[in-house]
Amino acid sequence: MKELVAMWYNRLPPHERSKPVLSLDGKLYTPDDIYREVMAGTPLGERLQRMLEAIRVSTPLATLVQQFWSVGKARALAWVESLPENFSIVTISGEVIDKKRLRQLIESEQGFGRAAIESEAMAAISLLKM
Amino acid sequence: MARFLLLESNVGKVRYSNGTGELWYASCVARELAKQIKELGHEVIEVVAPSPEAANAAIRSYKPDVVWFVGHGLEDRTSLELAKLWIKAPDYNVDVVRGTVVCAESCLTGAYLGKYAVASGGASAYLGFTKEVMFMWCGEKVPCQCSGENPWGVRPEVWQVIVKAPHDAIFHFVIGLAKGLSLKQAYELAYNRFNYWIDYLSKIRYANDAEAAVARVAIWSLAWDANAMVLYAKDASSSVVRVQAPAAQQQAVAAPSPSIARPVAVGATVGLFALPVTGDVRVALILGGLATLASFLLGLRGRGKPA
Repeated sequence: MKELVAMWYNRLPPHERSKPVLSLDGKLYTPDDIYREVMAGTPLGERLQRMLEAIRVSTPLATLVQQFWSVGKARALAWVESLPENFSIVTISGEVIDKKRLRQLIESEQGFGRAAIESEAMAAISLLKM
Repeated sequence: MARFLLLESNVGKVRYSNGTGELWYASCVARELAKQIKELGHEVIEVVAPSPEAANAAIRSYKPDVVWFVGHGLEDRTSLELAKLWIKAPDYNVDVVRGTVVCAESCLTGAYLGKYAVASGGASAYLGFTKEVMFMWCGEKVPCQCSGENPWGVRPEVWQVIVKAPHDAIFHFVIGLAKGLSLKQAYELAYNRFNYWIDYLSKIRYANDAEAAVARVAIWSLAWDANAMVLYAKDASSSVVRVQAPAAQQQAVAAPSPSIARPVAVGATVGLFALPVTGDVRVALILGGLATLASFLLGLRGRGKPA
């Protein structure tokens, strides 16, 4: 049912299509990857489609977070790369977190970086379920 | 009618060329939302750039029922303008908030000071944060408080939301009290407001990848702040109870929708009646105890004019 994948892909916001949403055999796949492989009818496309369909009909969102940890981490790092060059966020106590620091926190899975990964893992699952 | 004191710090550690500071990101939102409290018939006293002495004097003079403030904090202390120490547990000025409900937009004070202020300082309740309070700004050189202008290339209408959202959500605890809600209900209002903004930002169709990325960080920070927000109050037996948000994964970041131009009611918000409570205190105890405190808030309306 390539049409279902096409419909799913078309529902996604354009800025989400190039961010990873699935991990298979240690490799990350974006909606663009999934769409391309499925439409080409490749064996990889069939496996990705089966995964997509399984996630869409199964397991409650919260319990999938650990399974999607590497996807969440990759997505969080990808968003950081897309931030404006001098971007920073700050705490009321005056700690400034710039892109470099944000990247470090995500890579080390510490504090705010860990929270970002969790948010992105859940965002990926939600996108697959759209 | 109740009295609300807003301690609107401006400069903590950063002073911009226009005279404002990093704490004004919160204070300008409080100023805007104070109008809602006045419209509900309450008295609002605003002290701009308060020194600790000015804050203490305002509390002595006006005897507020609710105090909102923003200032740099640590687990055991908090500060006001120019990061000057205001309160420190266990023995520095803690009882200045005796008899008041405190809303502290201050890092980390929910980890210790808040509980101490209620347990030993006589505060009626204390809303604070167990971690750092994160918020979006325009950097150390460019002020953009309560403004749509920003150096990140984000459209003004989107930035307005991003720059105000965390302060707006926190201040909704105060608005909830002004509306006559119980402490717990006011906490829920603030918590749900965080989720409202997360949901809103999750569903915008962004103009480009950079704008989407900035919004993404805003969503992370809102979820972070919501999870760190904690309320301390006393129950009917004078035990200190703590109400805090569910675990991080319950702040579901809703999947972005391909078409949105307006806020959407947060139907998926986690119900706080299922909140886990730290220690041995059960939710039923909280509900019972906070009902008692609700009567306290209802009683605020009978107070007289300030001296």
